[in-house]
Amino acid sequence: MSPFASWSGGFGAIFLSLVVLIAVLAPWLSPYDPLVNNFDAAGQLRRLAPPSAAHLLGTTYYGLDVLSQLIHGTRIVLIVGITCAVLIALIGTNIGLIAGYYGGRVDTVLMRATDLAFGVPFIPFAVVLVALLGPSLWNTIIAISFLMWRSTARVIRSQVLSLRERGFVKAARIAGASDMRILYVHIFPNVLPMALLYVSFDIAWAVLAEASISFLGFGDPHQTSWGQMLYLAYVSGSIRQAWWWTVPPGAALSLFVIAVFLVGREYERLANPRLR
Amino acid sequence: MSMAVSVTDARKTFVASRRLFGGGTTVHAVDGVSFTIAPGRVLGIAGESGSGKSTIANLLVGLELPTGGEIAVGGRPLGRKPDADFRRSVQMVFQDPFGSINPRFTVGDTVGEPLLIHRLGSPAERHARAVAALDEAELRPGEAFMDRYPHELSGGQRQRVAIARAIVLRPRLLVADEPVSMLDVSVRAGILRLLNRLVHESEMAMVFITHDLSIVASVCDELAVMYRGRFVEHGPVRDVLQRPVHPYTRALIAAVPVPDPTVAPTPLPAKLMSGGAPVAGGCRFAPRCSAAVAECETIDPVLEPAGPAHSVACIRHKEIAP
Amino acid sequence: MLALDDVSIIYAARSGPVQAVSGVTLHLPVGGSLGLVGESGCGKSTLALAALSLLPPEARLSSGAVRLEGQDLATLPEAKLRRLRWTRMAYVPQSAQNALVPVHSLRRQFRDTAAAHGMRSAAADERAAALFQRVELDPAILDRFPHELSGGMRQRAMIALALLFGPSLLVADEPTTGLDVIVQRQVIDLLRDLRTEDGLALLFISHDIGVVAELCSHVAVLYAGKVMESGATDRVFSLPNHPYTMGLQRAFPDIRHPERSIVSIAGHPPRLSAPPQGCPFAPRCPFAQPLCHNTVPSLVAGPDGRAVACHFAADAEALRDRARDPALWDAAA
Repeated sequence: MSPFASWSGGFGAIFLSLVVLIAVLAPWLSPYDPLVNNFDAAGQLRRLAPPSAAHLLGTTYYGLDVLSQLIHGTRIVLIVGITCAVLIALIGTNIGLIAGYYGGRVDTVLMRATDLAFGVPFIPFAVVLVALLGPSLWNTIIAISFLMWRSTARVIRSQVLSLRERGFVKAARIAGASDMRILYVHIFPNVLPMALLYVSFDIAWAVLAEASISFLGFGDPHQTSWGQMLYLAYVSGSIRQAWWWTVPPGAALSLFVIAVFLVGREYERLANPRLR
Repeated sequence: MSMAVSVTDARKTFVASRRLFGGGTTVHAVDGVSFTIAPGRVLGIAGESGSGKSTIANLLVGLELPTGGEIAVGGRPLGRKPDADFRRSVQMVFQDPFGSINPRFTVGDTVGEPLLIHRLGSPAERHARAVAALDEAELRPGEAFMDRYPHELSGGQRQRVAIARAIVLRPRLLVADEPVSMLDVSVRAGILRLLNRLVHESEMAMVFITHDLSIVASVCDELAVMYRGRFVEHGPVRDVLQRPVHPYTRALIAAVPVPDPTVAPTPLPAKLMSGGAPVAGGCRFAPRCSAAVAECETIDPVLEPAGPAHSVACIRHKEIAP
Repeated sequence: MLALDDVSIIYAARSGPVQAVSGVTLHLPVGGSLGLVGESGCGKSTLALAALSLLPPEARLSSGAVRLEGQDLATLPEAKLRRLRWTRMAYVPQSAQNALVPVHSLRRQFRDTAAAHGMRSAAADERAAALFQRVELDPAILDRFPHELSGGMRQRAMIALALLFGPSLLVADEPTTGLDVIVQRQVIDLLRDLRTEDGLALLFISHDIGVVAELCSHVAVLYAGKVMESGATDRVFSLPNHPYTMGLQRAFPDIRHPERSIVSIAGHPPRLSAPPQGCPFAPRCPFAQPLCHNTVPSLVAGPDGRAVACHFAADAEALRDRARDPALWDAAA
């Protein structure tokens, strides 16, 4: 048995490993500093230079090297993806565990909070929050994590509702186990596969959300994210002429999201024997 | 002699809120049940689904709290909330051997967990006690099972792991809730004999909950038949099986299929199937009872002696006795 | 009525092919009743599905033929099979109580099923009322929803639905498992009446030899996908010729004899992905000889319509004597 039963899962895994490798080696891989303007021999800013040997993916309106920006963008993707996924998993899993296990009023309160989180439209909320707190990468991450725990919480809760009726949970209760022990030693490991699946999807959603916020101009101006690149291409009015500026970040984003979903699906196949 | 378990007039009511507005209906799942079990003895509680037998099991192990009456284990009454002492003195074996063991725990983790919860002994002592419990549950050598996972075990072996977990604390009371009904026929006898031996060789008492009257004889000393939250007949197991008095017990026994094709099945009275809900204040079995008379609608019978250690809740038990 | 000739069924599992059923031959005459008994994983449910030509996609008939009234089901097109399935043969699956659609009234479910085969609603209503009377349910219940009925009532409603087009064969897979004992008796009585009064042929699958003894005139004892023993129920159960049948019988408690101790059969059924070389029961058989571990016994028909797959069938009488002693089974365990 190969670890990946399908080519799609293998492709996703290879693509993601590549992104991680590029992010780690970004300073050595990128030919230019992504935030330093490039000038030609005559001292003129290299505005919107098409791809050439010197700039493999051309330059931006501001004379920045697109390839270097793309390479450094992988770091933002990983920081946003992983931090958000961890925060979402922490909040969502715990809310789901507590609501499902205790039931009653605790469940009602937590689930109404979840409904509320579902009711809030994401982009306007994030835009308002970032506008209030100021545009920075961390504020973007907080805005994303603050709402996106909702689906994880619901799914984990429904799993806990069935797990807590299982004999091994009752046996632990009868033996005198504390609620903490039952929740985190007995129930949590059994919802972990599902939580991890949602983490993988959360990574993809968080990266897309960061790109959306950046594209709307509320991103961190000191970082080069893929969404930020698309935003600058748009506001500089060059989105129609400089395909080398827009296609690489757009394609990279799409491929990243697809790769995460493919790996997530593969993981689900492996973790859930019923799908085999 | 001090009793391992004594239950006095235990009651449990549930409020089932079925409608969106207005009050719910009250369900008397257990409606005044009393019994005692001596150390080293087994009481079987038999009944159909909805008779309240599972609620009794949950009350005995403290998963649910009684709404009335008293439950005492080893002479100590269960207070408002089960404390650590109570938790140590009652354990349970469940019906489903696949759901009752954490799939992510090794056998050693599962069996040793009660010791860990009660902080008994050093890790080495806990390990030794878990191995000893597995040996006692006839998973031999116990050491060889410690690092295995449930999915590597058969249903019968899992049930033995569950039994080892239940006896590792040396409880005063073991509650076995249909412990063999989900196992293959060919391994049932082994589990029943194991439970029987564990109880009779120790000071532990057992309550054996079942819907299957044909297996009670191989484990139980006494048998109680439950109907709608009450014991309707209670006595020595062979006495009840071979000389049942209560019409409901008789119907239950007659309905058990006999593995002998040359014997024609005993026909059941038609009224047993068609009967409706009981009348308040009367015998709860009267609407389905072919021996019922007018008085049965007005007198709610209590358990009365009908033989040595044998009691029946039927006002006509003397007339209809075999 | 129904004939299975040398049927073998292979499941394509992830770990490789699994021979769920091998070389099973069974005959069910018109109006007859055949019980298939055995432990879980012995292939009895797979055989039931094969009889209805309803095998799941990962299973295939690797040899043999299933014939209904002389027609080989494998040669029939799916459309024809579908018509046969309701009109000539009907199926009551395991946990049939949960097989009813929860959001529709029973009447609607009868009408929908009827409409799928071109029966009009009025005719369906009339037939449903008659069938409900047949299964001893109040026809007024037709307007109720499944959740308003008890398990036994749902089971009888399910049987009534299966009888909608007057099939001549009913395949019932553990129809009484999970029911309370009094309700179970009611369903057994109903099935027996349908057989004796209406001439319905019955293929009945159960792990409970008591239920089979009460209901079926013939029985086949299955183990590891093979028939170990078959014949008239009273003959097989009063004079079992196969050690597995003897063990099953000894493992089964009899309410009339509380003093009799029941036995376990040591060990587990073999893994069907790697079946043992010889007799499949040999590793658990207290009478097994070297021959049993090396050579597969063939199913040999006897003079009284019985068949047994055991090298030592000729010594069955002596084996039966020894099998009566619980110590024999304990020693093996």
